[in-house]
Amino acid sequence: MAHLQLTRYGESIGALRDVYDAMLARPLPPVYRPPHGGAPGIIEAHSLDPVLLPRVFRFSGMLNGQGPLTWPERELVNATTSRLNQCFY
Amino acid sequence: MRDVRAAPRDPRSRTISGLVQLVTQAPWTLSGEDRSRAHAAGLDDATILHVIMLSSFFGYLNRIADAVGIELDYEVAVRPPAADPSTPPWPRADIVIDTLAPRALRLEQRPGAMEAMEPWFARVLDRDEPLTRAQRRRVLDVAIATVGDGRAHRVEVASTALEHELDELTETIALAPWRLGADALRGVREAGLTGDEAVFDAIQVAAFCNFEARMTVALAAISRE
Repeated sequence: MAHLQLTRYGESIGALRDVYDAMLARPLPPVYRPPHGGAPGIIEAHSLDPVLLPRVFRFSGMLNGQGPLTWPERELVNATTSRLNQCFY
Repeated sequence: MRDVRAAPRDPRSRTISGLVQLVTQAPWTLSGEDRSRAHAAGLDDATILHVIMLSSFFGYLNRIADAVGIELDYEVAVRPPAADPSTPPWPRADIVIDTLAPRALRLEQRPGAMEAMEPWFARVLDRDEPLTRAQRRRVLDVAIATVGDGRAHRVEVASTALEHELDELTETIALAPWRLGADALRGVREAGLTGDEAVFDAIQVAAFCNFEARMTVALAAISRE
């Protein structure tokens, strides 16, 4: 149960649905697509501000789209950061 | 996300992990020696920049995930242990880093970074509501002072219950995100921050400003001779 009222992909309408659809249309390795078929939780976590949402993930795309770190090295950075912060994500 | 209990063995991966640790725990302690060591391990400045930006950004995602309280939505082989709220907070910076001085490593050196940063920055800070500009400014100063960012202004003692609660929430987001349980948002709500849009706005300002300052302080500190 989230601490805030989020709008899941399946419940979204209007501007938020458009933002979600644009996010889900981005090229993404299958391993990052959640098995429930909706938007990943970290994207839905930003659903209270549909204007902000694409701006955050534009930054993410800029960092993950190209080197110099390889994909495994990016995973190393992300997983190490999460472990230190005791975050499951 | 992945099992990282097995420590990386090759020097390049070990160096990356070491940099991530400092960015996450105490970015102001980075220095030119860390940059030289990274160069010796085969990481050029563009790679160091990538590590610092990515680790700072993932720290932002950790803070949003914890503060908003999302669930894990992937199948994972090894479920990470639950966060331990009794873990002491990260240390607070005991020095101030001049983040405005010219330096060797800059965000501009990463293609597309400034173009991606500017609209995000504007959405978080250039608004009058739900948080007022004064509240936004205060959260910013509290969030960036924790990592020793020289751009932080001195913050007056909280004069209202809401200011006090915003300060507390900001410090938890910045220094102890593993304590962001369901109760962490009660204080700001009871002190008058009404509506989840407003609560998310407060979380966003704190998490974004801490991330931006963490990245900027790390780049300035590692650029020191």
